[in-house]
Amino acid sequence: MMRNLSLAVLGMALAIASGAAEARWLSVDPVKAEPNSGQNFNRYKYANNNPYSFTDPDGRRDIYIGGGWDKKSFIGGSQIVQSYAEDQKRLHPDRDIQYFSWKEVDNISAAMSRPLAEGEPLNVIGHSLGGSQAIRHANNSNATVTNLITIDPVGKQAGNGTKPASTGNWVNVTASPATTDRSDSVAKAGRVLFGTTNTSGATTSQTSTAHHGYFNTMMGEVKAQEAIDNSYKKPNE
Amino acid sequence: MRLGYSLAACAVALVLSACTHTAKPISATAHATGENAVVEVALDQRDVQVIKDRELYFSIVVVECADKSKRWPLQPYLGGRMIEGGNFPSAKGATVYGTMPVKGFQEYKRPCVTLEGGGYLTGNLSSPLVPVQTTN
Repeated sequence: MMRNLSLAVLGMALAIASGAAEARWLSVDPVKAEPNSGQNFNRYKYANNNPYSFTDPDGRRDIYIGGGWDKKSFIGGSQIVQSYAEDQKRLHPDRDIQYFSWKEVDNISAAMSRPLAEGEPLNVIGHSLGGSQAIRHANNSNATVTNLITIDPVGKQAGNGTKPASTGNWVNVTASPATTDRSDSVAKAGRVLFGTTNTSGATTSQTSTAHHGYFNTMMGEVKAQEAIDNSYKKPNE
Repeated sequence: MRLGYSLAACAVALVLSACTHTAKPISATAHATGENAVVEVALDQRDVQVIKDRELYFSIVVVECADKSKRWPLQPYLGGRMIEGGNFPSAKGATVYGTMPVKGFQEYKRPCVTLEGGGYLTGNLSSPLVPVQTTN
């Protein structure tokens, strides 16, 4: 147990030290730049010079935020959330599905800030350190989040644990396995280093017997994907 | 004493983390079940043992044999049980499978699979491309 924890603390430190945020877009914007002027990519021109009253009709999106060691790197990388997001993107090519590491703070902010047409969903899903980032961004963004899904979040978030004002539905899962595996040790070390996440304001909060790394299992247990899929349905569907 | 232990732990972690295990899938097949294509990958005992010991998370990634960038990662299952963090019930050889829509699978001219993943400080998992034999 102590050995696992020591390794986890070391690894967490290495992850922090490795630093540089890696931006990787899993989706291609369906809007192509005009070949001659590129004017449709001008942030004012695209909305008839009034970006505050017009919105991006292609904005319906799911934002996945992975935790430590999610993104592939030289020291490992479980790719748990990254692969899940990539699979979803293949299954739903009509959606704007984006994946970020928890460290890509600016890119997450930018993705959440892009305008949506009225009624289009914005779902934010975070695992581990990505979970607290998801809450932080939901708190700090003006965007209306349809579903905020936090899977065994790690780290202090912005706010006091109440549901972010602009969030519709917040589903949280806390892992509480009977035995400890490496992912649990890493999560424990993460909570020592980054603090615990206050999820008291979640609309639905559930405890799982799955290990910290079992993102897919926990997503299934709270029917998170169904909530996301339902957000894309029109009211009469 | 504590410092020595920490340094030793550091060394072990660095050695472990630098390791990529290259699995050698025995075979890969695919068949249709309703609207889904079931992609099966047979793993030998050694690969299962490493994945289990290192608690590796992995996906069965369907790619075009000639174009690895056309990827579709599938969550592996074994006998209806989701395989996560190397939670194989035993270290015996096993055939894991993942599912995807038949329509999506049919977009691949020459489908191959590769295994891809990693763990929490226990390195990465990769494999060579294995052509998928289609059985129906």
